Amino acid sequence: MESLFDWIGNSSVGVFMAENGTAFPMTEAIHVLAISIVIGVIAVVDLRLVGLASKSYRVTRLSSTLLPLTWIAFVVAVITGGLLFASKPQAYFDNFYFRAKMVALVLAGLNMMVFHFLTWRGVESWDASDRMPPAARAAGAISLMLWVVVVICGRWIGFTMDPF
Amino acid sequence: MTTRAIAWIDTLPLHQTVRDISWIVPSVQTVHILAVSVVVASSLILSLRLLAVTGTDWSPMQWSLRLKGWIWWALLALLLTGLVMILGEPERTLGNRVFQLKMLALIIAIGLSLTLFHRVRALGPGESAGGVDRAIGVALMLVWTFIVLAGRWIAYS
Repeated sequence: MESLFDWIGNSSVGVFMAENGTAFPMTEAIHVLAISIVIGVIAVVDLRLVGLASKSYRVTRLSSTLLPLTWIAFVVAVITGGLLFASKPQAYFDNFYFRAKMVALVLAGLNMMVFHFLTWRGVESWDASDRMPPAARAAGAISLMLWVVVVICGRWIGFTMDPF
Repeated sequence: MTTRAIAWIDTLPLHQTVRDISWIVPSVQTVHILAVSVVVASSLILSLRLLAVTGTDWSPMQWSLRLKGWIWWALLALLLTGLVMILGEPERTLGNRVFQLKMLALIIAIGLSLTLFHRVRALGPGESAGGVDRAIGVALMLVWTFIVLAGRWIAYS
């Protein structure tokens, strides 16, 4: 692991991210913008699942129209996040909040997979309903909570690690 | 005037409190970013709906009704959390050119949003948005992009 982090940190990208004065803040700004879009858009779908908003919009239609947006923004967040990580791989890896953020992301992914592969199978029967089955409501609530955790951890990384 | 305001805030006990208690600023910034995500995503969805790219099962009017309340509450949260950050670091915010530009952009964003909320009322359910509405939507997205980038940039300038 350490040699991998050394390699990343000493790569041209890692050195550039660590030493260029504007690369880090610029990348971080784009990272925040991308995460805002990921979370804000996914929240519209989650709130529909929980039953708090957009109740007259078919669930299948709402997710198919909004989730592509979330995925595009997520890819941008992963790329910019990877660049930030490359500036100080070992320090990020050692940071508690960084680890917690990664765990929350994995859990969000698992939650999405359970929802997509299991709960989603019966969607025809509740697609247009304003009240989702408990499994779908739980998936929405868990997703909302995990993304809040991601933001909390993300902000705390910034306060527990010197950016430079 | 700005210098005066900064000097005055520096004398406030609250200024010291925000600086002394280490969890205040990161907590407030967390809420600030969550509120930003509500406003940015809502504006993005509304703009893309006006361009007929996203959410076409609903009219722009329906989306506007769905998102308007969330946008206003999130803006209120942004204002309150923003004020706490100003209390903590008046010189980095009030006295900062990037912050001043951000506030100018914010006023423009609010103006554009109000205009859009008003204009979509004139659109019938099956009617598509005209060039002006589309242009306002795109402008709104660009202004919010600038606001978010400027917001993070304040920390470094």
